[in-house]
Amino acid sequence: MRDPTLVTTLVDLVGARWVKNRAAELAAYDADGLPGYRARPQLAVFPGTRNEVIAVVRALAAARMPFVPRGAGTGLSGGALANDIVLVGLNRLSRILEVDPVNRIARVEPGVVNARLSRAVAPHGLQYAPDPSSQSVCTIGGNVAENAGGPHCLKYGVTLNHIVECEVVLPNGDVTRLGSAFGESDGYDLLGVFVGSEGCFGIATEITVRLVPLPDRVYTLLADFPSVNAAARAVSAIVATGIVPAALEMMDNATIRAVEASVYAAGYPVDAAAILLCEVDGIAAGLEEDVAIMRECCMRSGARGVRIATEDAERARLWQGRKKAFGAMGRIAPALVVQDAVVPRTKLPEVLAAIGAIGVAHGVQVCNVFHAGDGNLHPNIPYDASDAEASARVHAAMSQIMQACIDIGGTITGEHGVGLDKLPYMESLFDAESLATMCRVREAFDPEKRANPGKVIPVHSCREWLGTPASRTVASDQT
Amino acid sequence: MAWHPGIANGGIGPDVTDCLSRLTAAVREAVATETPLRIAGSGSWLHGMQPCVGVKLSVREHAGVVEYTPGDLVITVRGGTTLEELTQVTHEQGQMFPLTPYGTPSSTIGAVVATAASGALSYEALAIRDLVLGCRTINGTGAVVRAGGRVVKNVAGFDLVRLHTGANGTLGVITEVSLRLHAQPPVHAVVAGALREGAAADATFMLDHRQPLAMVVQMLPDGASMLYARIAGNASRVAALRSVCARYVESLREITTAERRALCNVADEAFVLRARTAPSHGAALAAHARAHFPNATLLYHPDRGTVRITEVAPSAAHLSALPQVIRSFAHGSATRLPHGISAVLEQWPVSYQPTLESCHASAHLAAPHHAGTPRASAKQLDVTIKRALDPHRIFNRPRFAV
Repeated sequence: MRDPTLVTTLVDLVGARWVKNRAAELAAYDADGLPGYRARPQLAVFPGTRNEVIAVVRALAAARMPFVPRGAGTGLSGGALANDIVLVGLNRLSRILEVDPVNRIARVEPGVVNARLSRAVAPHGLQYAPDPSSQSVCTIGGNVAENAGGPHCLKYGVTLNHIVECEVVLPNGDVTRLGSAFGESDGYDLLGVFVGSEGCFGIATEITVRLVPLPDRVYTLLADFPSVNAAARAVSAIVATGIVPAALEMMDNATIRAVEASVYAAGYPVDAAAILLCEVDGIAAGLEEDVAIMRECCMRSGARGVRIATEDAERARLWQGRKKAFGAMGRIAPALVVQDAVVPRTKLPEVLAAIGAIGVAHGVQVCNVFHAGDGNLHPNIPYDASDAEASARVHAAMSQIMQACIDIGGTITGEHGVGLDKLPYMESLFDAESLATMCRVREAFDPEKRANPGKVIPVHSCREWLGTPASRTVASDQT
Repeated sequence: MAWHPGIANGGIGPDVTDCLSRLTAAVREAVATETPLRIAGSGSWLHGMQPCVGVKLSVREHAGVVEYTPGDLVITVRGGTTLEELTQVTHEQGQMFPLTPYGTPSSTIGAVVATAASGALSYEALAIRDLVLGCRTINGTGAVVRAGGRVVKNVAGFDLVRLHTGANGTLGVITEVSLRLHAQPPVHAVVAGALREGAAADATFMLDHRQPLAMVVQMLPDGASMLYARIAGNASRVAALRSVCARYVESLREITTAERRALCNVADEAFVLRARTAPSHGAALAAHARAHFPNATLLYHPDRGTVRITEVAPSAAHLSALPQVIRSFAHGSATRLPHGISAVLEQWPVSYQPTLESCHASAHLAAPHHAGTPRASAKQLDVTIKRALDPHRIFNRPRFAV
């Protein structure tokens, strides 16, 4: 139910133009990057400054109104959906506040687009390393919320490894700083637990990121394999050499065909069962030897051929095909289930075989495009959501795929977050005590559980905690 | 004191086979009787900045490999496993745990995670928080809680692993950790040489620091400075990195394992102060540290802007005045150190019994905080999280003073 007083308050804070409450305006926020989940906020508010964000969060706290922070809405877990509550859009906070090339840090607002930051620091010979596929659109704030990854995280690490300090407005409106760009920590690693908290712990209003030097030289290899197994063997062989590739990505035949039929065609061999995109970068010395070793690993594992790209334009084309692969799958069917499981690297052949068999058993087409070097799978199934029977088969297949990944010692999400989409699998992955502990940590940041409610941890897991003897003791201590 | 038989005489004995259930039972007993516990691995970091009260709960016997598939470059070990044991197991497979934490090879991995110990020459400037993939802990209600996993990327649920890393054991007993390993590069060496005059203050010194290379400058009280660098990769890359180092030193040589260990070893009878500022002013910080601690050995990390100040066998008078000296040091010089200084006292000499008052005085020096935003809420979060995971304040009282 819409609260007219709250609307008036928010309009007073940010201006009428930045408070959306008409159905036609709100429809744009019905989904995030994952088709298949839809929910409409009752109200969307777009503060333009740090102070406005704080004022908005305080107004929401006063009204005891739940809210969902949102960046560019490119998330792939349904995490940025607001179901009849308030959506706080942060994309107007898009200033790069400071670049300190000597100390290799930048201070940015949460709405800064990932790729724009790297472009802005490139003249200093630096880059912001985490590069999710949506980097041309997604925001640093969203990346922090999801602990986003990307192909080059194999070498450079995920978002967590690149965030050194955040100013945060907690759900109750208090403002604090977590982490320290140049200081020693003097308490728990609150920044570490904030990164990846999927908007449940508050809103980052300012983010200090670590920058890394642009490599002197980059080589990208495209290896073409007659089987997925051979490509997986090559991944293991490369990792075992001690070379840390900048990226090691695999695409299967279904994905290659989707990409090559789209505007993102990259010149991939359409008859290959799988391709690997391998990249090494760094100082020039010794890099060619690494390339030769990686090429050898691919050939010995059964590659039909290896193409080596050194020119920027050629490398960019190879990468565009990979980064736009999800989009290219739109040609196959209007809806897409995207998964994000991670398995131990040695289990890749086994898991890929199991995924293939599950796809066949359910009569669905699985397209695999993933971060092979990390064991981070993205089995995707394009489908027609208007076909109820097909949808049921797709979801049954996905459920089995996720269980197969869990059974083999893997996890349900490596970089997309739990959001709504992976909630059902959390109880397969964690026992009740572990989930309950996570709930307690969430309550430390947000006792009223108003920030992105209903995401990440199944609600009844928290209720279970409240019922345990230990928690009753704690509750009585606190009163 | 009536106490659980497993920990009656200062710790769990080697005869105990089922260590995990003993540890869990001990914590539950402590919860029931509201008895504080002092968690110990090999016991080497207990003489840190604040004394921990309570009955010793030793995790040392809870050691060994739980799971290790070399092809995954991930190992899961019990909390009491020592760095030496970890090194032996991984080296046999051509792999390594890429940190070189301060301490001795007998330090346990549980303690390394709990103290977030970094090292003089950690590979690629990695920190433990970058390498712990998962952990199993016994929390302050006696529940066994799992966090993270055994895979190299994982964002399922809230990141309890980060909370336990560096928590000084105040949130639970770390009984098991999964760690990311590195394959050993073809060539891997630590080289050293006397630093050329003025090199440490050279701005390009830090900027040249890139790629698989860890660098530290050891500054002795007599004014001599040695550069130590860990270099790795294939032969061509190592040759290139050697030539980078050679620009700064008189004559470069490879050091022995014993010398490497000596660099990381911390004398029992020393105080250790860790200080940090922006890397751009790291050399100024080192000079500032020298002025305040003329008899100390300094380890200056140009890429991190940190200086580790170690003074062995300081006089009693010096020790009693130490909190004041540190405070004066940490207030720094606004003109020469515009980013401020944060300082953490890591260790008192073992034989010195500081008063609780002086412990607190020296423990609250950290973080040159950003102007404008108070951190009171972060402090309150620490308190709330402590209460959530250790509601009866059983563990490592009064570390972190929360």
